[in-house]
Amino acid sequence: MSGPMRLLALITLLAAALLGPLVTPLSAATAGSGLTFTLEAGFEGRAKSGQWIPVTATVVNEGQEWSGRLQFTTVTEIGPNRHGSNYRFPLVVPAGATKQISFYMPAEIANMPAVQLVADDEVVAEAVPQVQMTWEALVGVLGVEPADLPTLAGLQLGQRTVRLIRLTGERLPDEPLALQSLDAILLDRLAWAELPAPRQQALQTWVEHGGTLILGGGPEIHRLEPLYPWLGISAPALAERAVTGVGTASLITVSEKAWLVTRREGDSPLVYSQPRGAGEIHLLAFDPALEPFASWQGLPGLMAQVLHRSAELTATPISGPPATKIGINVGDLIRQMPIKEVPSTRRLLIILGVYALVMGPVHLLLLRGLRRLGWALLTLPLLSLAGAGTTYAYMKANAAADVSAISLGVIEGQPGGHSLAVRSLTGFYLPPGSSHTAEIGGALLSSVPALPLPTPGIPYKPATGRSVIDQGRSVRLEPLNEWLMRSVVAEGTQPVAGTVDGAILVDGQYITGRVTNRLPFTLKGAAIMAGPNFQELGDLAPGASVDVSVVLPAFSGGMGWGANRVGEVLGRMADPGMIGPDGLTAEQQQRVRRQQLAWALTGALPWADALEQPKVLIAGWLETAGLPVLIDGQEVEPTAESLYVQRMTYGYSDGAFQLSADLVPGRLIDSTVGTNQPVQWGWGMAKNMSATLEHVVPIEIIDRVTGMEWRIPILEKGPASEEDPFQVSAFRWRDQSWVKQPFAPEGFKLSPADGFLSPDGRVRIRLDKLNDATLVLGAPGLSVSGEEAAP
Amino acid sequence: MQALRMILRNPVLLREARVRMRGWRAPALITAYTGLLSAIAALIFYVAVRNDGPGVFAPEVASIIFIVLAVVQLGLLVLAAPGLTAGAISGERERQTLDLLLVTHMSPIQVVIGKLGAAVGFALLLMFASLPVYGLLFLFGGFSMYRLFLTAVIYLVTVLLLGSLGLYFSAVFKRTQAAVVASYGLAIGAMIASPVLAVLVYQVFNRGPNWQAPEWGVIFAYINPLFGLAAAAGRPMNELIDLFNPILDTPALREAVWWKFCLTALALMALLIWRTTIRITPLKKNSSI
Repeated sequence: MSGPMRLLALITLLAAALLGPLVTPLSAATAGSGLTFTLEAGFEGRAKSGQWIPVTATVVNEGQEWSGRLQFTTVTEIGPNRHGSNYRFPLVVPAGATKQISFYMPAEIANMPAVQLVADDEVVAEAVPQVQMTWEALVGVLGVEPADLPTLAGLQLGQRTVRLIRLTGERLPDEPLALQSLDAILLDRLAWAELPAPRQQALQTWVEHGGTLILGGGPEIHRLEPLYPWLGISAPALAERAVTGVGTASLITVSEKAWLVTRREGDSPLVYSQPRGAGEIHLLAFDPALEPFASWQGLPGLMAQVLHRSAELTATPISGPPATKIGINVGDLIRQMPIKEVPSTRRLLIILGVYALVMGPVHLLLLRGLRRLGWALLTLPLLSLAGAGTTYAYMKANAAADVSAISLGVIEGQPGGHSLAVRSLTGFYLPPGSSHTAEIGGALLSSVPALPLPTPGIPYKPATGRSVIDQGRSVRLEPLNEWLMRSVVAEGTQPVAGTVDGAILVDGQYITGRVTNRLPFTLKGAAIMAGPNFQELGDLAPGASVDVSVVLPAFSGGMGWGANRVGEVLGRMADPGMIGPDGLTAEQQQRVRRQQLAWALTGALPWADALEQPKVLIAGWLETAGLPVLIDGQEVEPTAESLYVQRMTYGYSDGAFQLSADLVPGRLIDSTVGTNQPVQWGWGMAKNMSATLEHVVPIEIIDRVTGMEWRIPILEKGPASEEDPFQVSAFRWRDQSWVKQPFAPEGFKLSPADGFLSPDGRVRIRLDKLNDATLVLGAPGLSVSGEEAAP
Repeated sequence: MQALRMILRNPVLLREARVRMRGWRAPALITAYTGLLSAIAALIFYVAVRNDGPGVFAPEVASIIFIVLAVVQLGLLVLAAPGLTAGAISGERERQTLDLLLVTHMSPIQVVIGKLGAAVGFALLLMFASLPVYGLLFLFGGFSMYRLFLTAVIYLVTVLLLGSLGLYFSAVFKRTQAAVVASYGLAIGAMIASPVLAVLVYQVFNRGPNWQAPEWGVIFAYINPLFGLAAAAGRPMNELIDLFNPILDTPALREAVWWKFCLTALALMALLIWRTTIRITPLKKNSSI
């Protein structure tokens, strides 16, 4: 080997030695008692930053039967407070057996703690899970091997590279939240019935709350037969068909109309797509792991289109941020919730004042009147006892329990969905020195129990304590030395007993229709929102309906459609109004709290920002925790306030429809100055600059669009712009080429039939500025028209 | 039982109690006492839940109410107890009725016990009357009756100790004024001086990181009712008892301060009663009568 080659080899070896431990998913430890203990964390050692990390521990026992527990401990220090959280999972491994235990590690643990095997409070073995945080697009593959999909590995989705992750039915997390790190899951040739029921449920819930599920078709489609009712299809027809550029293959045909179809002109459909709740289902007509599609060069392009939306989402598939965010946002607010309606100070003063008077002059006058002053030796202690008994009984009747629970959270409903996604921060007030077990029914505790900063103005000393989390589901709150609330974020889904239902139509410049609250709770302070416009709906009792009519926004002014709007609108609605001379009333206090909560909680809703398409949202308040709270096994009713948010689907009124230009806002996806920014009013183009804009047509109407018109206002132009200020080109998706368009201030027409509208609703326009003038442009607009009747 | 019956049938005790209950002074004092404690508790409660904004409502405010009530109550009892007994014997002497009292069938110890019982009984009645104010704590939960009972024990022992002290000085000095000044001087002086001396012990004898605090320093904890109260009340007030951490280095030792204070106080009380009895016994050579 030559000198430079030897050096290169040495560097490579060194690099491998240094970087190897960072990417290997396995970490192992061997105990002296015949136990071998290995950990596999994340998805093939990879996970998304801030998400749940699934961990599988494998314990091989070559000695005698072993029983103990698996545990890891985290310590959080907030201000002067220090709190340890001990996660425990009981474990019994018979002699000669191998046992696997799957659990999840909370997201906010930056430095992975050591996982220990403990017996009789002695650590037998320990290992640190190795996880590499990645920004790759992780696509889980279930049913076939990733090696069967050679053209998909390494697929580029914008800035992100696709990494295929091998999943198995046994190792698939049975908790929807644990699938958060995956951008999409591809099921191919999977016998659905053989997938354990909890995993089936986890997959379906994950999709309804934002996941992207891709189902392989082809000759093995019958394996998905048990899933047909959920998909809303009958048995697809299977036939050999010729596909341009591919050859002859077995393709399925779905006859139901509710599916959007991706096809090549003149060919059979290749992909059937449908939104499901907040997520998406893509049913491939073919088996991507079977020839001729397995090696088809067009497959990466097609899959890039399918994965486009999920790959662009910066949010998690299950909506919401990491648990830390809600903990930080809401942690202080939770202390502002009244534990219970307490008696007024005035009433207390009257009770105690009357008592003091009875004990003194009233008692004396009474005994004097009776000429029995000597009785005072007996009556005064008796009166004291009676007073004490009365006040104790009164206070006890008005008291919160020794342990109080307070819950704040976000409940996301999905139109037509089967469950509510709940993310809540529940705080527990415990008297110093006492211990209780708390559980949020059916939810994972996704943060370590945290102590807040002490209340300003109230003397305190540093609090220390710990909690023991049993299998990530229940927490034993060990004694603290101080009166302090411990709070924990819980995430889970609750079978939905209803939803906010409505028939909403885009009718001219209005979104009109009727909304009905089919939730079992009163939706308080509700509003329907469309961009910056909203309509207050007041309190919607269960079963109550209300007519809605919201003006379609002319221009969002860059304020966005997403979570910030929810916070802004609800915050504005919760304005407490004029403060009286006696301070805030109880109602005003609640309004102030909701105003703050609206901002704090909507910070936990990045999905609404992540989705570019215009959305109609229903939001309001529910005085419920969403998930049952149990203390020492008994369900308690916590003081609770939850923000309810639901995206509404809407159709279009009968006859022709015309979306206003601003309903399809542009987004700068490529330019010399920046990318992926909403194009706002008054943006500029400097000399010799080019910019690519993208508009996304609402998915609900993509297949009914017959005409499009694009225009852009020129607000200012420099002296050198006598000629056309720029050259405009539209992207033709069919042959992946740019087609020059005639520019006119009044705009130009584009035809979907000519291939300018992608199957997933994108229209791309490129502006090439040819001269030196500086331009100031208005927001580009895309008008979309159609003629079909609403479904 | 016989002893208790003797105490309850003590003519001095019965007479003092009946006389005290006949006038306006005692009812006014009870009303003022309970009214003051009620006002303090209500004020803290109001501050905690005041309606001038979305205020933070924290159950730990119960700890603050308890600490304030407990300390104020102790302060009031410390102020009341010596005053109730400091004039008991000197007043008889000033009215020239002590001789008559001593020539009755009652022994000097019965006279002393009767005087002490009458004064302490009233102080205990004040303490008893304040119980409903403590009921406010139960609005928040987390307080045990056991801790309240222990604090009541501390109050009882404190009143007995300070009452005995007042009685002793009442026997020592011929004039009530002198007895009152001496009683308050010693009671309040000891209350203030003992924590100061405790700190001084810590500072003066501190010899660096491996220093062992002198164990006799803990005597300052056992003679101060405030430390007894802090140990009896438990967590809300245990910072006070933490002052003795260098000597009482385990929670059990710190917890034990309350009953050790009680034993010390009862021993001192027995000593003072014994000395008072000797002081007023006519046959005593050095008696002041």
